[in-house]
Amino acid sequence: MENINNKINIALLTILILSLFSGCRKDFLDAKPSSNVIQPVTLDDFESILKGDNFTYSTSALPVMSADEYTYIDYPTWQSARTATERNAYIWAADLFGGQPNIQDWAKPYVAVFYANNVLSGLQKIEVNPDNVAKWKCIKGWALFERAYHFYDLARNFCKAYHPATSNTDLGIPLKLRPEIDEIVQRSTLEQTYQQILNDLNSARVLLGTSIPTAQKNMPTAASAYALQARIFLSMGDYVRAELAADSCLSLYHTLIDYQTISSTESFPFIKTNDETLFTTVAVPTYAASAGTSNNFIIINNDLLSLYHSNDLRRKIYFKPSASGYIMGGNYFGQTIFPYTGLATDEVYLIKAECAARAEKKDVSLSILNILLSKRFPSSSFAPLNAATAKQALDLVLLERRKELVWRGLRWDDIKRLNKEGAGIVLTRVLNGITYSILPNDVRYVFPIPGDEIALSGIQQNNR
Amino acid sequence: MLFFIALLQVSAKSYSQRINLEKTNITLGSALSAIEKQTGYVTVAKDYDIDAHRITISLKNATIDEAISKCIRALQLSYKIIGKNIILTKRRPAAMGGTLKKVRRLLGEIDVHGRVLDENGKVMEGAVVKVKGSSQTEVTDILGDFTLPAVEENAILVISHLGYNPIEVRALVQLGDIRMQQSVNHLNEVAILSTGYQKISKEGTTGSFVLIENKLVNRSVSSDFISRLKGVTNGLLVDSEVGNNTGISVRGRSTLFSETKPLIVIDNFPFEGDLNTINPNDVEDVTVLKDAAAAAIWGVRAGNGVIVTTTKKGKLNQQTKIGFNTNVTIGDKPDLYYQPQMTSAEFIELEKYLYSKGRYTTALRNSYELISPVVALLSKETPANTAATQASIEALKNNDVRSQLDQYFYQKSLQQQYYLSLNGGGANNTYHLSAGYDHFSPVIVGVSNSRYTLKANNTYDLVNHKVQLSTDITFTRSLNKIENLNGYAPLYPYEMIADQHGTALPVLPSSGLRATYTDTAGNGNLLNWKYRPLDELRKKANSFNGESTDIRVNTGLRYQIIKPLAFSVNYQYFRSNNVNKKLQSLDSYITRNTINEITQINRTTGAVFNPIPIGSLFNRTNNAFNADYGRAQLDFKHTLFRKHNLNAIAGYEVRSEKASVNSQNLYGYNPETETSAIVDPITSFPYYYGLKTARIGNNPLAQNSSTDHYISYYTNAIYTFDSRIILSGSYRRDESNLFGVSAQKKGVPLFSTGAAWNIDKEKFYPLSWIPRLQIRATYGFNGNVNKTITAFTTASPSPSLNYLGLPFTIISNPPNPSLRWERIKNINFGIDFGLKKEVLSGSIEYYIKNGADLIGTSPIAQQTGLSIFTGNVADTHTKGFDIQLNSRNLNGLFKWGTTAIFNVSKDKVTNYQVNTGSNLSILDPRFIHPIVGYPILSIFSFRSAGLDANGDPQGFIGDNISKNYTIITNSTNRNELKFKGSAVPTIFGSLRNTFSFNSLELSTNISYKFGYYFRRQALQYGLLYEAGYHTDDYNQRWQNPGDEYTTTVPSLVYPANTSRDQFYAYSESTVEKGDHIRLNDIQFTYTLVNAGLKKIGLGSVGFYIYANNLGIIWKANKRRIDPDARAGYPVPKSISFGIKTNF
Repeated sequence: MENINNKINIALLTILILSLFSGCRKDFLDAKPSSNVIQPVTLDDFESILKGDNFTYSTSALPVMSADEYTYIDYPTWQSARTATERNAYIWAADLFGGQPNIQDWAKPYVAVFYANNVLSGLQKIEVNPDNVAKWKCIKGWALFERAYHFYDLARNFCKAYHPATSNTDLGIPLKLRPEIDEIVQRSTLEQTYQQILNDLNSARVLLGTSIPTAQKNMPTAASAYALQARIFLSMGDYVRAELAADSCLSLYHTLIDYQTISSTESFPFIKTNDETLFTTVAVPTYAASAGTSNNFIIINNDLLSLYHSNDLRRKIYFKPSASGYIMGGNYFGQTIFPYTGLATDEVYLIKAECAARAEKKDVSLSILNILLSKRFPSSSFAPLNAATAKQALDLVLLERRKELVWRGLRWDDIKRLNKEGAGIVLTRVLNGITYSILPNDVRYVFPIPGDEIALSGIQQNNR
Repeated sequence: MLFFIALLQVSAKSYSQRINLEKTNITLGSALSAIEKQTGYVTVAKDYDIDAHRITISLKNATIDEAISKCIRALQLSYKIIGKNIILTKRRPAAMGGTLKKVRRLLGEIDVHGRVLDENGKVMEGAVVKVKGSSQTEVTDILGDFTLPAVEENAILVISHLGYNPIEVRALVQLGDIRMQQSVNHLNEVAILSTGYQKISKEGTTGSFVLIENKLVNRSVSSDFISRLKGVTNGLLVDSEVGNNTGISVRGRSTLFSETKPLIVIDNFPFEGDLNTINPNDVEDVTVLKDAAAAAIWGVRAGNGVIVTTTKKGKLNQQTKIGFNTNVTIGDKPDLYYQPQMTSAEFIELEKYLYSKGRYTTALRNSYELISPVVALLSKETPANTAATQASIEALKNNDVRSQLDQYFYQKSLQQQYYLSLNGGGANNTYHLSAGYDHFSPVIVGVSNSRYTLKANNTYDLVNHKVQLSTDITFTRSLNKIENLNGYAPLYPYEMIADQHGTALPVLPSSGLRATYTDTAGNGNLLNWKYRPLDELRKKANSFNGESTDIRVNTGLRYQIIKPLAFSVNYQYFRSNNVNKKLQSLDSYITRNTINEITQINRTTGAVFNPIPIGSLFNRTNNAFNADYGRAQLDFKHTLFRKHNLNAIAGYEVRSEKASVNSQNLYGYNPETETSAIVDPITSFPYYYGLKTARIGNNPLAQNSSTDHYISYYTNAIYTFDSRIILSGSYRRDESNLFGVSAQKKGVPLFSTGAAWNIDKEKFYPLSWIPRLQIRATYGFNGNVNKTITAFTTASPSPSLNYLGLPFTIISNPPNPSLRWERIKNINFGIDFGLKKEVLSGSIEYYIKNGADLIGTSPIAQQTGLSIFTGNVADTHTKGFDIQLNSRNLNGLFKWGTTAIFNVSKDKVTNYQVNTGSNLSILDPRFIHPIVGYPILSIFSFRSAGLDANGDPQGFIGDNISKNYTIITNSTNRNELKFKGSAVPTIFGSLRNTFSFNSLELSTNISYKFGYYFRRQALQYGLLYEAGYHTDDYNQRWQNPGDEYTTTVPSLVYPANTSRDQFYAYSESTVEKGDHIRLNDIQFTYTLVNAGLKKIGLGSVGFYIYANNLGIIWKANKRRIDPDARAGYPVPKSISFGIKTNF
């Protein structure tokens, strides 16, 4: 009998031990599986996500490679280019990517959009209170700005130039607004695309308040939001709103660098956090042909070089002599070799000057332009520009725009926009005795959407 | 070593109930009272005069059972122990009185006594003695004795024991010793299988198990046990395409992207350490669990099959045995000429052609970019020196770097193995102690591996066999040394690394700088910038030292609560600690290049600043792995009314595994003083040459850790009716802390069920020529874990800093709330049979495995922000046969046995919800892109229409021949692809013949793989111009019109057309059939057992020779390609010599 009691005791003890185990079961199963993996939930987590390089090395290099700022020194060099895309972009071939998969010019802006969408969706779960509201606004404004910025980068490359008459029928980009990856979106209309971009940007601008740039140039401010608005309105041909945005930007922040303080002998004349920079992005580091500063096999076009006055400091700072000609040197991204595509005050001055000229405000235009140019020449030799008419002023501004914003990926957009207004710019290249050219408003001004995107999502391809 | 001493002492103390008695011709009574004195037991003899018989007794450290059995041996007595009482009774046949006894004599009935011994003269407990034609049965006791009362005179007794040939003898009163012979090829009869949770007899199961018994484990010579399963395990495929680092798969693949490695269990618990740390000499046997009934008890880990390894233990009542085993294996140098490649002459001619086309114009525009020696000569060619230049170039054509590689960088491999063991046991305890040392110098000069293993296993029977305590401690220390870590991969086929005196010559490093630039760069301000691979080898410039220490402690306590019910607790602690040190001294080009690249020289003052201080580069990485496993289990085993047997377990298991890594990079390191210098990790320093900048490494210190927690509940029950019908069922639920799936905490339930029918035991069974016949069927689910998936958005700190030098976070996984763990449905049918005398025996199994909710990754439209999608998107269907046949062809003095293994495993994807993109991405061998209706790993090709008159490859768009490669490769029309077959063997197996004569044994193993294809390396001009020259079909390329009729290799074009290259590389022209037959190995043993050896204290001495990797006998492809060595070289032949002795 005693034996049986013992056995019952042991059985009870076993059950007790087992139930103790189950007591700590929850804690045991809640243990964090990996020390370096988190589920982002706090504002700090989201800020850390927004600081990532995915938002910085993220814009297309195709506009730089397609525009008329450079030349391959010879045919063998062109032939020996690493990727088919580099070769094809140079001659505006209809089959731009030549079978190359995973085109970063398309993929990287969408990575930035995906990150921004993750932050925006995470923010919805954070309760806003007086203690965190300032930071919450900053993070939300930042995320909205990033989405607008990268949607616009896609729209300007993979869609036709905006025109109000056709924007409801022209194709826009797929507008991914949620982070879920099982959602595939078809192309919107161009009107919807621009509305989305401008709405995001407007919301961002309100949230960012009146902030101005700090050393953290990957964090947008109200000034950057206005600058981006100005850039977009200008490309849409909406010069009135572009001027308003430029004004708003300059009223918040209008610092220019005096180029007399910049060394022309340094390998990297500008620092990354230079004073003109409003918001930093760089072209995808994929193509040697866009990596201006490291290449001596693509040289700056002579007709561009010849535009500069001999005293113009930009010529010495931007370009470096090499055995085969002048190559790209100075760059607002400091110690890097890929095109700076971000926002800076010089671009905003030029937008203001252009819009003022187009609004027949010749003197306003010239005075703004001269403020900029006074920082680009030695004080001793600077002579302010003059013009008789607003049209002449406009031509001066457009010329300075071309000289100031070299290698920033803006020239291609300008050609697209100006040709739409009848500028009649024809680009030509000669290679191995063959002349290639692209006429105004050619369908090839719109890049094709990469084949793997088409194969996987079935969205509509551009006509090339 | 301390462990060993401690354990030995513990075992010495546990000899508590030992009896020693040495008496000649004493009465049973006085013997029993002597035993009483030593033990405290009281003998009660009711109807028997204990002083009537005299006995001679010799007991040494005997248990009470042993002692009493010996005392009453040969007497008509039986005994029972109840509490502290020994009850002696007369052994009487059922209800037979004194008068009947006489009648019995008249009827010719006798009582039969005997003892059963094995071939080595050891007593056999548990042998079954059966009177033929009656139900009268007795089982031998612990001393091998049996008594069968009232047996008809002239009756035939059948004595059988699992694993031994049954013996028939005529009944006699005193049969004396009966010797049993171990049966040859008794793989399927052999007894005890381990599932890691319980031990069950093979005959009493419904599931699909393969037991690799000790003799088979020891058939081959190797330092790891996994390779010993190769070619002898039914249903196991060894192939590089199976998708995991063990190279093995059990019954094909039933997952796409999750773990494909079978679960390895060592002594009851999963083993997550390095399999190379297990000494195969310590392995007793291996059980492979294949179907649901066998493996479902392992739940979510069982999807790929389970390999349960049991290590050696001592045996009860066995004198101390000392075993020593040593062998040496010598392997050939590898055949560096195995891969056909472009000759130096061809390569140089190509360089000359490319030079003329301007291929190097860009590089030559600056002074530092790398150019080959031939291009360097060409670039300096002037009309004046043309003759000399061309002569120098011609001279290079005679060089072949492989001859020097072979001379300096490769050697014959040498492997040595030493193993010493000590085992035995008393009546209440067993022990097994072992020590092993392995040393291996592989074919690569400067590499060596050593391993030291110690193992101590002890078991104790306490409280009258009611409590069993076991401990097992294993300690392994492995040292891995590489003196020339970076090796040497020639950039050009005509490179020379030494002159005729053996002096090291400089060669060009990949992504290095031009020879003329490094001749003079720096004006003495830089370190020597030349790369001399032979110097680095000789000076041990890049060294690697890995040390790992593994400790495994396994303890178990089992308590028999009441007869049918036992409770056991098991705990295992496993710790693996691994320290890897990499030292690159200033003799290393890498070190000097790293320092030189960003050396800062002030152009005006000439001051030199080294952001990376001059000194060695040093990296130390520590990996630590800690695991705790605990298990509480109830075992129930009971037979009711003789016919109903239930064997069931239920338990609760907790597992916790923690892994951590930390690593440290040091610069300016001085190995003598172990000091290093601080570097600036933030600043971007301009390069010494060109317009580039670089930051010195990111975080010099990195660490992270991971924690896996599991809680599982399980049960398994086997019900047997009258040894005829067996029913089984199991259920298991796993819960874990993995980010994995949101359902994880609710647990993943998995179950199995099965039935078996021993037809041979039925009364109506008519096939007397097949005395053994069982059929069985099972059904159930196994699971598979994928730790990389997550239901939530997860992010992790970026290993690098952002462009401003600040830390940031990257999103590592997008949210996917609907994720579930994979499940694999298993159906298995099996037949086991044995012909008379097991002349032919074997098993035939048919199985179906359906993978459901399989996790798939696939390219996804980039608008999502990702290029790869992961989700439960696929289902697969696998079916196959596992057939094993054993035959005894000759069974006289000369014995010949054959074992044939034949496996068929065919899988196909039945559902795949993801759009896999262009045809090019389907063919890209770096990814798995399943297509519904085809094997998971398939060989597809672009349809090829051969070459056209210009040497361009032609494909198809629809039905039209086309050369528009971009359209062909980007097409999503799967009909434009041609399916060739599976990339994994679908039919495979082996044929093993064993011949023996006296103590000589010879066996050979032939293996085969059929029903699969592979893609050979193809010429891609783009890659050829970039770097590689390992392109064998270069000389087969189209060169002249008409060649298109004899070759499929496209003509040379410059610049290369990527789409054209890819089209050809993935076209039908580059697919080969993989089928082949291989002579794996030959093994020869000679065992010496004789009296002379006994005199000098040796039990037996065995000599063995083992020749491995003997090569291909037949292959389907005509190209000299060994399908198991598509890159590099085939595993060289090796031969081992060894001695095994017992004391």
